[in-house]
Amino acid sequence: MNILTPDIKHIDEITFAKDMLKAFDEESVEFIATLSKNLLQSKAYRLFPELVALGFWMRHSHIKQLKKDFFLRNSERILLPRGIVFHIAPTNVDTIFVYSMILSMLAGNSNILRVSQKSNPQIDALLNLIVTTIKEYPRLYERTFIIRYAHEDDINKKLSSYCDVRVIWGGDETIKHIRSIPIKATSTELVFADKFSLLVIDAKKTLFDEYFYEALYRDSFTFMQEACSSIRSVCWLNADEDIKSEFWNGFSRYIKEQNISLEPKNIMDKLVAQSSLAIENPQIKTQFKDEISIVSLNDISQIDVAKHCGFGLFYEVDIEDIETLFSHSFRKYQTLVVSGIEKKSIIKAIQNTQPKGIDRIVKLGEAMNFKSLWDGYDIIFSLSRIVDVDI
Amino acid sequence: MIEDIFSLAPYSLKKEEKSAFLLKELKYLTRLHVRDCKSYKNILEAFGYIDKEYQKLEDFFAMPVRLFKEYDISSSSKIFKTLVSSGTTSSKVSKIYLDAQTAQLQTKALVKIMQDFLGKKRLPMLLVESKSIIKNSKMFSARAAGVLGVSNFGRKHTYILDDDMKLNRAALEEFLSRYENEPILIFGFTFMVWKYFFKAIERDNLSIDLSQATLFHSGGWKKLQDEAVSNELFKKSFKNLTSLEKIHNFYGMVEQVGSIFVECEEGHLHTPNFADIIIRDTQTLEPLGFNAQGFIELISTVARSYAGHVLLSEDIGEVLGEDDCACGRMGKYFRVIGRVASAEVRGCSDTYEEKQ
Repeated sequence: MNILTPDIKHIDEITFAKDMLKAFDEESVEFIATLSKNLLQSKAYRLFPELVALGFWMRHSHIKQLKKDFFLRNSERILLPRGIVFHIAPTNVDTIFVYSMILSMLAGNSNILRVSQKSNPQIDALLNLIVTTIKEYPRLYERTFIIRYAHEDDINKKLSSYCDVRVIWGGDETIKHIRSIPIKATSTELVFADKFSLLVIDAKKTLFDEYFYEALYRDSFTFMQEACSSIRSVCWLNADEDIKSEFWNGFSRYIKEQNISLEPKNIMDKLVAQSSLAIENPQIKTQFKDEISIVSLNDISQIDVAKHCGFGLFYEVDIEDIETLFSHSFRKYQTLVVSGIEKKSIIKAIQNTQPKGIDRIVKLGEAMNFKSLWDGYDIIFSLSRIVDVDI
Repeated sequence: MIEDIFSLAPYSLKKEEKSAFLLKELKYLTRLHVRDCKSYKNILEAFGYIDKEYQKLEDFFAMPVRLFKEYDISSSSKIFKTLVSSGTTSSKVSKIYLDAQTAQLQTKALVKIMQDFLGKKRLPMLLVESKSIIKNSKMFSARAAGVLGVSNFGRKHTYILDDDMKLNRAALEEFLSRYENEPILIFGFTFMVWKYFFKAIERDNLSIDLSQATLFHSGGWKKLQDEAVSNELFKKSFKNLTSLEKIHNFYGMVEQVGSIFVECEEGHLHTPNFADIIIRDTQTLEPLGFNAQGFIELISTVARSYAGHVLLSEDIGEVLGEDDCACGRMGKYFRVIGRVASAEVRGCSDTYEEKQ
């Protein structure tokens, strides 16, 4: 275990400031702007697209926008911080803990962050930058506890007993395990479970050019299809077999040019997934195209979230209209990426079908862009407490 | 017919004859399983293999062997025995459904192969096992099936481990003194032979002469690799300590019992007439030539009551040559390099797994 901020050696030394910061406190806003500047201006971080995206997200104009939205949405309410928020972030989507921390900080909370001990140049550089930057902001420094440890339940227990909100960023097994550790009766919990994301293409209104493939590549291969918002399935509107095969050939060629290399295990996992789906769903078709494997389903109800192994496996299925997709969605669905479909028909479809799933609809190329509205939560709002003054 | 192949010496067919024979058999078996096994048919249909004209051995669909852990794959209504893998590394086990014909062919295949190395006479046999492994049941563990299968080649079977895997010195010494200067057969699983036999002899400083013995062992090197014990070290250690020189490792899987690949005097694993190996690229699955590493695909004409005639394993290996091994045996010869390594876990679904 290693406590990076503030300057203490042991979790027993953790003490919390008596007073809470305000939502969008000036010091917080300034700290985030500085962090963004440091991240975007230094050459060292340019090698890592996720860090650039984070820096961009934290830039001053965006935070100002978040502030405007927050006060606009909650103009009739009095919102206060919840207090102490304990964030448990995933091991390999390295930047998630920062987004989580920033949003909580903007709500005015003190934060405890659990960061994995698994080291890589990207996360080490990022942590180093945060620690040096936050030292210049004493009120944040004493309210931000960044702790690196392997999942040791003694530490998890202690930190859980301190917090007013516990935020768990998946996956399902982690959530299940952490939930067995109690939090205070007055505490709440925000969990982000494993999710599945899809792309819907209106073939009549989509041009399959290099920009299209590049955006699709970014939305699917950034975390090798393992992130919750990675595209794993393609739903087709108005597509015949020729269009589909032109699309897959084009995408397959684009991926070849990226020179990605998969582990033998990934290839085997995909082959097993393809075969398993074939056994369970008679009359489907499947293709192996080196980097990508395609499973052509006959019906949207055959989409099998559990069998998807990532690393270049794509389901595809024809749908009659966008409403079919919504009415067949379930809670595991997170992001719907759209191409060639208008906003108003989406909104109408959602209102007509009252879907069980899908929390987010974005344009192609933007699946990986993190937002403060996530998995159906307004995160800053969820980390705040409403005071109802009814006199 | 498949039976005819057993009238020949097991390593006698040259490339052209062998592939003609295997091609005919595989075409027949593929048709048979498409007719009788729904899962197999579904897979071939999905991958577009159903109307395929098979021109060569590389053209057939290789079933990922992991599927036997997930599904009941069977083509016979007359199943009389089910084999299950010992499943040490994962919680799921393979289930293999055997009818009388397949079980018989498995035995025949094994007999032909073993006789090539041991001769026709049954030898006094030491088993590096405890007797409790053999429990008569309809559900056989692969380990028990292996022990029973190889037991056919010996007589006066002596199990030299007790239930706690301790070497029974008295039994061993009595056996060795009774059959002094006679050829004997020793069988066991690779890591058990090393850990409970060799290591016990070494630790207790036993003076044991195994110069008349032939040792067959199998089960994989994973556990021994962790202890940095290679096949070379294994052989050298036995030779130095016990004068045991005739050591044959063999490779095979519970999904194709009987169809085993035995290491020859030159240290190469050999494919018999009725089985073959194809190496496939781990990115493209294309078949590879000699001295190139990839997934090991196993072909066996012995597997008949289930669609296990062409399997894609998760082992990595390379073919070293064909029809020209210095030991004189025909057919492809190859080596196994190891298991497919687990890839790094990525994405946001592994917060907790890192401690395991």
